[in-house]
Amino acid sequence: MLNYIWAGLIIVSVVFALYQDGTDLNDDRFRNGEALNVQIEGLPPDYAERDDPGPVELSITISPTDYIAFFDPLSTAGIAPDSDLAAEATEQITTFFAEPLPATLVQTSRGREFQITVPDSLPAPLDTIYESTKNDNDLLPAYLGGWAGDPNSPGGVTASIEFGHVGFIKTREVTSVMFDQADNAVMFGIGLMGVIALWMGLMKIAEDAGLIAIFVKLVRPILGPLFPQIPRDHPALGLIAVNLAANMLALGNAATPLGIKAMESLQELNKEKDTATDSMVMLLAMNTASVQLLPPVTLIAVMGLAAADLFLPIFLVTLISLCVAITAAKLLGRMQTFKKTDPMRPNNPNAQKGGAA
Amino acid sequence: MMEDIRIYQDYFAAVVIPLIVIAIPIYGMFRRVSVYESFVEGAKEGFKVGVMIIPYLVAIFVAINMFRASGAMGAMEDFLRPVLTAIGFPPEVLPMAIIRPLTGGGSAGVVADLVQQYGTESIITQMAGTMFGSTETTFYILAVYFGAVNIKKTRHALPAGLIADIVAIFLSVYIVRLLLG
Repeated sequence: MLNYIWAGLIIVSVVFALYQDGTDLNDDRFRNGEALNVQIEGLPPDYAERDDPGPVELSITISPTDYIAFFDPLSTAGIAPDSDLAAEATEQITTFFAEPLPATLVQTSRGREFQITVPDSLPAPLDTIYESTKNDNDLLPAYLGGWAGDPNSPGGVTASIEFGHVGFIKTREVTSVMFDQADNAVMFGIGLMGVIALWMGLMKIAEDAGLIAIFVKLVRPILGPLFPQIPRDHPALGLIAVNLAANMLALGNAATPLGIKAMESLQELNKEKDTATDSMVMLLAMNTASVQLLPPVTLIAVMGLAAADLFLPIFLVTLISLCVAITAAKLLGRMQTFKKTDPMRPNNPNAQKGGAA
Repeated sequence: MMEDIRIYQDYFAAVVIPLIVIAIPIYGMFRRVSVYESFVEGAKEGFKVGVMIIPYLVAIFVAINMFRASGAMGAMEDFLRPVLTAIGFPPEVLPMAIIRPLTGGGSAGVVADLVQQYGTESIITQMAGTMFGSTETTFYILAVYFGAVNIKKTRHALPAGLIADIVAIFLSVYIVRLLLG
């Protein structure tokens, strides 16, 4: 079951990412290889004749109308034209492109490249293009196609630019998350060790001091009615009490061997060795829903001091769920289906020798 | 009334850990336990537990965060949100409810992941933490306890355990909202 869930999470993640990237490519969401017309101010008049263009500081103005016509961001986001949302989105894009963007024009191996300084939040889909193509200095690259007009005129020249090629964004992201999280998990786990050691040290003192014994006295009296098939003086009852007491204190390491001992003791009373008795089912149900006075050590380590808030809620939840577990075990045991398979039923034809008479 | 209970819960939360931290050594000394040596011995065990949990953290952090990064988590939450909100169950806690009965280490990983996503004071983390503390890895306990004595026909053990788990999972949501929400 767990295998399917775990593998399912990973497989679905990758398939889902590939599907989205496929859709993006199919819709040509990022307009790969297409040119957007912009206004450029600050281009030197002799730029075309220069052999070594060198870095040029200038500013780029993108017209919001051109941007919307080019990327069609509204229909990609599923916003109906003429709706309030469309007006709002258009408004945002207009505000964003009101100011020219400062940029440096340099010659790189990929051609004449603008390195554009962009503000923190960009409109879609330019935000994705930026995240995917930004250079080491967090600048957005764009490539200069041609330009026309007089560089000295007040509006600058009209130029066509292309943004970097963008594809398989989600797939890349999912892959990088995989590596980042593997790293993160180990660092996080190492960070937990101190608190785990502290808490387990304290719990070891409690265990050595016989704190469990106190709780055994509390638990012991209520066990008789819950396990009617066990004779009053049988050692199984004592073992069950110790197991439940260890569970209450979240001494998981101590509780499991004790629980197994209790099971072995119940098995001695069992008349049909491959079938669970009502007592065994009850012990198991009480273990899966045991009252927790103290939360488990891993919870304290993971949540730190904030775990203190959870002591009372956990105690209340487990108190109720223990009652539910006991009731469920008792009521289900009375159902015909389960009652007729009880190894302790009278005249059980499968009863083996060695069971209690 | 509810406000009073919340205030008491808050006071209780403030003192419960310091009280445990002094009560245990005092009781230990009273019972003539060499508390320092016991502590060190227990703490040594702690490192084993710490190392043991790391592979689970890797498995869960990687799988859940890939699922989240791909957008599939968001799609699933959006899809289930109407049903889950109707019963007052935050969709973000759903992975916990699914994974809890199956793996202890893995569900600790889910709580840790929520701590990193939402912080320790978030109600989402508190709900998941309460689920983690209130329920057990029923399938594991069933396998270990019955496996140890070769029981093959488990009768009503699994249904009884799972009923208790389901009740505890829903109670965690409601009680945390009541006391801490």
